[in-house]
Amino acid sequence: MYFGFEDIHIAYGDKKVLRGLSADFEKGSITALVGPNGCGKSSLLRILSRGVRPQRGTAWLDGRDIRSYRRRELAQRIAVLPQLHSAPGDIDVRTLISYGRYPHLRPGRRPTPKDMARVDAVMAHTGLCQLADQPVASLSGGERQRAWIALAVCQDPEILVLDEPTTYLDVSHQVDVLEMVRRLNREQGITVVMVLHDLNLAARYADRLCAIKDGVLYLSGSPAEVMTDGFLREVFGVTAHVYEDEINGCPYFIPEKVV
Amino acid sequence: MPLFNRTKTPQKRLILLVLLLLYLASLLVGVGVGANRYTAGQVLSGLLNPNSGNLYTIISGVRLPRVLVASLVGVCLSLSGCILQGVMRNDLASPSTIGVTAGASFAGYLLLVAMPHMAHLLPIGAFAGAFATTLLIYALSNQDGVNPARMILSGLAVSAMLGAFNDIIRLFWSENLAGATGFLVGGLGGATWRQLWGILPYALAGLAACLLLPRRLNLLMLGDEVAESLGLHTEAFRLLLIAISSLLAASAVSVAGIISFVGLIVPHIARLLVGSDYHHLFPASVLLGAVTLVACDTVGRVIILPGEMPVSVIMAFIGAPFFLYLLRRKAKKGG
Repeated sequence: MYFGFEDIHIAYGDKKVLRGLSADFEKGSITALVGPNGCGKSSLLRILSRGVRPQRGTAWLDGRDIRSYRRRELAQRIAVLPQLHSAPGDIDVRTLISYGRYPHLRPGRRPTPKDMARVDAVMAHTGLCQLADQPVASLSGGERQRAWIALAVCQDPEILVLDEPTTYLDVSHQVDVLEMVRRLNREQGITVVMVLHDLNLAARYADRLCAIKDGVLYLSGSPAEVMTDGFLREVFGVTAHVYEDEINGCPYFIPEKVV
Repeated sequence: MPLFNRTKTPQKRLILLVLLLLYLASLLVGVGVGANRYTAGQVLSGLLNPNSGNLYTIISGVRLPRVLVASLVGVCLSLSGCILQGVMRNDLASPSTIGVTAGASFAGYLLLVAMPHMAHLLPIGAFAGAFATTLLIYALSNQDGVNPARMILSGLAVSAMLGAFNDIIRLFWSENLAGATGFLVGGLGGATWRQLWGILPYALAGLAACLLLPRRLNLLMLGDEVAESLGLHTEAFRLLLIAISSLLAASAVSVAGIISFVGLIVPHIARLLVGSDYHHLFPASVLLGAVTLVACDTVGRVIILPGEMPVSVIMAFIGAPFFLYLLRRKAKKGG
């Protein structure tokens, strides 16, 4: 196995968010984490950048506790993009993306031409070349999200972790962002783990769904295995009808009502 | 010099050069102007010719150390503010608005009263006070990121309480406080070469530490989560920042007492001039901070001749309205 979590417990005060969650992820796959609001998905992701320390349990990569890696070393392998981000108003797209080179720089040394070439390559790959000198603050929601993902990609991670990358975007930008993520996965072999709220998009773009409920991994498997009317009722509390999208080869659902 | 931000770098260098010239001009005016007014030629001979008698005494013995202390105090307060604004990720933070200078001053008083024979360690005592206060304010205002209203209000409450303690100390132990004039009066009236040498090592240590910070401070401005993902240990780095900003603020407080708003206004204007990249922001704040304090002190020296207006009063008259303006603009933005 490649990387994952083992027996993670996280509580905020009296509120237990995760209670013994274990999960593992395959190299080169796209996994979508789904579950109701407040089920601890975001906390789980933040363990991977060592911003949250679980009360119990470990996250591991290549058989080693991630806490045994040096932070910079870990940052060269895992990039975690939070749901909300803000940058100083005058920062331009190229500058923002170039910060992704930080884990690869030797302390006190300037970026090398190779680093700058990598920034240009990432901008080309994420379709941001024409926006390079624009302030990030002036971009549309979809462009801005692409720029932040490009920052994470510029880290050259093996694993890209995204927390709700499609929130606040209209449907065309949601699809645009997810198409880009899938291209990164298919073409560069980056392993992707992302939290998605929209289950239909999750089923469309992920190889695997992991559902979190009551602080543990409730169910995981291919979209076709996971997305059933029973699952929707038990995890999300809605009755729904599940259909097969024959063109894209994935399931989708239409909700009926709250249980 | 800039590592990532390649755009508009020549313009920013030009701005820094202009600020440098402005600083040199302010030095010249600061040394030449006062109860007696001297021409540039007289200033030069007062600086370079020890045989010029009275002129040499006034220029090199009194005014030069004073403008140099003013510069150093301005630099320390501005850098401290610059760093604190990064720590809190909020541009309303500054040594005076969040009570750091009050903490430094209180610890300084305590040292002078409890251990009068250790008066020469005033900067270190003040540093301890500043560090403890900054940590306290950060802890009080931090809840998933710093809440600005909480930060300002905690700073206000802590400042008021420490100020009251200072009053008590002044009231009951005034005889112990004879030594450190600048610290007590809050001004540069007693600035001498001795004071300059006393403060210089601490200020230089703080300044040197600033050279190590810009790249990581830039990362911190992207938010804790992104900075962590890029490999920055945000908690440890914040502690380092708080320590350095406290050292800088304490250096300033221990020679000149509390001078408010320098650390608020200067980083703000510097940001307007050169942008948010700390590689440019630090040098701009250094120069602008020195200019601001030298200029305000010079104005204070001539505005009510033959008397003298403390620089802290001048700064308060300029700074308070500026602070209100910032608050109002924030309120409009809803942030």
